[in-house]
Amino acid sequence: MNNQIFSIGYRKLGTDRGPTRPIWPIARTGLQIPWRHRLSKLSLLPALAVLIGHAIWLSAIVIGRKAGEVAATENVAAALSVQMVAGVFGDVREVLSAFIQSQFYASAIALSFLGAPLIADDVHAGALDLYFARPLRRVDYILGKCLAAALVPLGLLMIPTLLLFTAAAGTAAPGQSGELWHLLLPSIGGALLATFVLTGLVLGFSAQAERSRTAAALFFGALIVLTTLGNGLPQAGVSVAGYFAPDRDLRTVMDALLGARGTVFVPVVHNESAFMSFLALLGMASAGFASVWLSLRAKVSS
Amino acid sequence: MLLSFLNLTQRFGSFVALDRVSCELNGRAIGLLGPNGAGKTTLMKVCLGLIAPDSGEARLFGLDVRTHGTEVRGRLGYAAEGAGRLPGLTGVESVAYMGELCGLSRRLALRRAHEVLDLVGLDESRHRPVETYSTGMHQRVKVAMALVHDPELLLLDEPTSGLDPESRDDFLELIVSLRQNAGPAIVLSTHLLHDVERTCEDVIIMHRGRVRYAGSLAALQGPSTQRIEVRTRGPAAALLTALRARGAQGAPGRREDTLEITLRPPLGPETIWQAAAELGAVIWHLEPQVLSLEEAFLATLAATLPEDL
Repeated sequence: MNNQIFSIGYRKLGTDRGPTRPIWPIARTGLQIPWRHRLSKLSLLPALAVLIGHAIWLSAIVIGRKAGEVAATENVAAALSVQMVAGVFGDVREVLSAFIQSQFYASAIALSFLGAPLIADDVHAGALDLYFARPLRRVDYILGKCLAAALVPLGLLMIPTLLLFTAAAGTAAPGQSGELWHLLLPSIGGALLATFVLTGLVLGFSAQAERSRTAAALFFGALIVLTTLGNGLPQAGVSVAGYFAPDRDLRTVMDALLGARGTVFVPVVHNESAFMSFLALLGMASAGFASVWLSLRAKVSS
Repeated sequence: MLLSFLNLTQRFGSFVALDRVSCELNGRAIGLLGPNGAGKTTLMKVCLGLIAPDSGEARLFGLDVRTHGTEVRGRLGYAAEGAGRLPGLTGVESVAYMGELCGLSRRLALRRAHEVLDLVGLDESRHRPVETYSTGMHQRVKVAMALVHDPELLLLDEPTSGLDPESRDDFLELIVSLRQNAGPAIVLSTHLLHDVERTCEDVIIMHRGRVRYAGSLAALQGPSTQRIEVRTRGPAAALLTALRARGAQGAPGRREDTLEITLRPPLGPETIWQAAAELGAVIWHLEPQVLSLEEAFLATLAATLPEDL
């Protein structure tokens, strides 16, 4: 026996409709579609590996210091071992700075799979008409896609940074934890800046390409080219090219932020190199967002 | 007034897609009829605000599409021609998502999605990804996506293209049932005359970006356009030439002395008598014929607009 459908006929809907700014449904669905591919899930593994690696590094610092401090109360040799541990493993601020720099690329890998299809797939499938035949503004669509793209680096950068910070602050000796709290805002600031840059870049390429694979290749390729140029050209005497490398810019800004106490943005403004790096990162992100805006303005009139 | 266009013009480079389109209609089911490239899809996209016209004005529900685009789109449902879909989502997810884009809560959108999918007759396959659908299933999902937020006007662009006869029949039945029940008003864009004849009461005929006719289907097939069979004793070919010169369309009939003459207002049967009198031809048989939609359509397309001259 075949299944049959019995409809009650067309039913009028009441007036229970909300405001039509569906940013969250666009973001949720934007991530839901690529998440169904196995490769997208696997793309999170590098980010997980970076997190575990830095967590181990941080644990080694904290455990080494604690053990050393306990022993240092009894003899000089142990006190020296504390200094040795600090010398070998660095300190918490170095861990956080290195984590954000490394996780920047790990997040970029994940974004190649989760963020690159966000606009490219809509263009390729002819779905833009589906969106803009609804009471949807261009800006709502862009905000929805931005939120979707930003959620990936936020989840891979911001949350792990906070976890690492909490772990460091929670396990530190009472005298040190107060000092660590000064690192909280700069860490969040660095993670947000990285998120902003990655979101802008991935959406910029996604809006220009008509296939998600092309967008992913362009996005990741651009990061590699910029990094290579940024690291290679200064050695050839073109020092200003150093600002091309986003990871280097991010590390410079992070080091400036984490090295300062107090307000987040003041030290960046006073440090010329960090300020230039900050401007370079803003420029990259802005170029990406401008590309999204211009591309959509050309494709839809509403 | 449901639809109102005033001197709407849209160019794509040197190609004029809409050429001073002006008409007003207020029906429950309107056929937008015309050959490929007539400007039907462009007109629909202008209604949706997807294309900003070069000049002129389009009003839906009395609202200017340019200034009230969001409000107008909230009251419209649109099922586009072609592949417009969201690969990776199932049928029911696609429909619910479109509901959310129109302001429905997630829960209400999902409930409503199942309701409209029942209405369009999509079974358990609604839980399969849309890229695995056949053309017929895909058309059903597109209509469900257009209906989910309970629009006041449903724009269907070539909804039966690519369907097998049975699916097409079911689809047309669905349109009729929507029209007859509490469903939205419908604008059906197609080049298939039968679809319009079966489902619509009013029709807009477009050709080369211009509106050739806008009004009721009955009037199009009725006395306003007359096809008359004429038998004459005398110079039939000369009579045909004389009638053509007066603006009538015509062709030689089945017999040597027979002519098939099509007259559109302001021309009436008296035109034939006058032409015959001038030529000295004797008319001994004159019989009005009932036009099929196809004949009326072709006569409308063949009619020369004053601007064409």
